[in-house]
Amino acid sequence: MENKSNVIISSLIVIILIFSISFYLFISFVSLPQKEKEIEELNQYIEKFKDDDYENKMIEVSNAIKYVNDYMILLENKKNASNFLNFFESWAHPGISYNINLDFSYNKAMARGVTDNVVKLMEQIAILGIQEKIKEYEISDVDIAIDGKTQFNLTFYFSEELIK
Amino acid sequence: MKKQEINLIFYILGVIIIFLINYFFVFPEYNLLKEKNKKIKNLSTDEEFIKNYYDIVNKNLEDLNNAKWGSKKNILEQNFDSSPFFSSIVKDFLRTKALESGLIVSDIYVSRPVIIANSEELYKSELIGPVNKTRFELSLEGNYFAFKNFISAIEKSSRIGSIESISIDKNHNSNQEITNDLLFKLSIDYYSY
Repeated sequence: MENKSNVIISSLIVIILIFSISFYLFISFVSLPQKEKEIEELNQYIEKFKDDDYENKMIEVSNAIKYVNDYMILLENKKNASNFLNFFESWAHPGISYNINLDFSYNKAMARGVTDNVVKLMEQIAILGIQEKIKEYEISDVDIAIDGKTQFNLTFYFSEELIK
Repeated sequence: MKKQEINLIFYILGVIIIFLINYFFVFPEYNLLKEKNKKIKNLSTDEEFIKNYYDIVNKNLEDLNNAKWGSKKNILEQNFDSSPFFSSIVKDFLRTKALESGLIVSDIYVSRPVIIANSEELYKSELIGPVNKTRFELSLEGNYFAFKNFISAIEKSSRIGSIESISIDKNHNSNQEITNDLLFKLSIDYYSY
């Protein structure tokens, strides 16, 4: 009985010993070299991208994105003065001569009008009143001379869509 | 010595040998293996990320080439000039356009560039590049139609300029010909990086 248990314990120790040595040999001579190779292949694959002028390609793409985006934003937000001038011509009385100051930051126009006849100013006011793109206007400093020559200031705010 | 004691010594020696082999050989190698596996996992993630990233870069480049980016690039680039000659180039551009439209340029004043990111422009957060705006204030002489042509020419130009203010006044200089009957003052913003 004692001999049998001795044999079992001895066998167990030998089996564990063999297993440990085999495990060590397997890791050292099979697994680790395999993993090293795998790592080397992955590194080579990643390095390949660096060699392939990708740095310049990325700069090119990021510059393109930057230029196109900024160009579009500036284009969308720039003011279109021609539209305003065409609009102004559409309702400015031909008998009145204007000196005009336009401030597109505030959508504001200030004009000094001169006409030979106060009736033309009245007509101008009537036309101004029906302009949908003029938000509000004010006529001030009206000066009517004996000969009928009339001078006045016209201040108005126009719709922003007019200069888009 | 009894046989039982000899056996016991062998067992203890066996266990010690097993412990030493595992402690000095097996575990270090096993830890090394775990490290390598971790490194492979990280590299695989990097590889996947890099591959996807470069695929996108390649796709974008292909799209750019299909859209004839090479020729369009020069047009866009002139809007984001960052050379020290920016003001001179824009002044020359404005003089040429004015001349072509039939206007006389009396003066061009150039303000200091303003960084849009520090300005009150509503669109500033949408810009990617460090865009500056420089205001050019022009004094011009000529007639209304020439002025309209000039405005139209600079608005249609690929060089983006935003007209911020216009002043139109009578030209009281009696020496001027009737064709140059008006004085114009114009403020335009041009952009650079």
